[in-house]
Amino acid sequence: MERVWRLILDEAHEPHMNMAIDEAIMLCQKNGTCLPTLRIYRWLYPCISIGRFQNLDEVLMWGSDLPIVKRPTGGGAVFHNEFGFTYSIVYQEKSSVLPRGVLDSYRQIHIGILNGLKNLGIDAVLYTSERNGRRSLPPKVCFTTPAEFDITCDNKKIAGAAQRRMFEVVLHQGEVSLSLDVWPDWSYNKLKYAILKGLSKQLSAKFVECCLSEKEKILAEELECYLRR
Amino acid sequence: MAELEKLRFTKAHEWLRVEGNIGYIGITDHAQKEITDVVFVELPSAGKEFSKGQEAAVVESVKAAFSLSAPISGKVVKVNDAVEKDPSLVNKSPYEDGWLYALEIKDKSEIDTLLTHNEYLEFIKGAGH
Repeated sequence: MERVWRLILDEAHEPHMNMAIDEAIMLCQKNGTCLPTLRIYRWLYPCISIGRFQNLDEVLMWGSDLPIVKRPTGGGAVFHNEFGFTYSIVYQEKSSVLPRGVLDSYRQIHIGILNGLKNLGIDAVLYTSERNGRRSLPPKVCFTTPAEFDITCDNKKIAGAAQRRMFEVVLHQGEVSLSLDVWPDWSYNKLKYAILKGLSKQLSAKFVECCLSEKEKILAEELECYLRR
Repeated sequence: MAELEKLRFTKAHEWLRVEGNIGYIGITDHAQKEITDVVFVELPSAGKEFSKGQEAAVVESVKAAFSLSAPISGKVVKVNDAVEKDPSLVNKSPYEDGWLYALEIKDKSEIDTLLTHNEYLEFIKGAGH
């Protein structure tokens, strides 16, 4: 059965505002007032986002001049540049729009994205690893090492994500990074529509374009002030 | 071996073990399997007070960071330093060495609102996990 989702095709924002908006959508979902939401957004300038538990001082020692912002989700550092495609998905666990488990939900979302990429002629696959009882640790830089159900092309990671689960609400933040050697015809709009189509089919989602609610906007502004401190 | 029948549980997959006026809190075996390899934990400071349902700790794996709410109201009296140093204890021993923090219980009647072990097992089955 097709489910209605909110689609927010957002404008480019400052890094802290982008994170604040995702968090605001998540917090507003806690009260059960919102539909599952797919937000697609850009960054006003190149920057690095780091995982919730990553050490900022350690990342500063890499010597990059790019601004750094902390994500509410886990995972490693992501470089957001002109070839990046950033999105977030927010839903209540009990809504059944995605499987409850972390890996299962991650897999479903990435199959949708993978199908979108395949429709663009990109020869990508879903990465699966042999665990062999070994503990997996998060890479310091997200795109250096694929993890289970990331998307790769020629053994190179091209899509990854991380989640935050809070008060039975899931925030899934993802990035698709296609360089020109992977996709010489690079076009943001073509990529956006291909991914939307792939996700729509995989998640049985009918995306209805919306804006952020007033409550989400106000909360995002408050959170942005807090994140900047 | 933990006596699971003596524990209480939440729908957010936390357990509570009551010893006198102190409640020890951790995540269930089901949750640690779901989360997969725990790589970081953020525990509350001793002395901090929480109301039932307030975010008290965060557990992170490779794929996701999980906020954990206080299952009951109370003041933090102990945190498990060992699990901060070695987060894999949450996976290896979720009901014993992998406990997270302990609260001085403010209102014992809140314990009765939590699930018994059997109710928790039913919840997992019914929730489509």
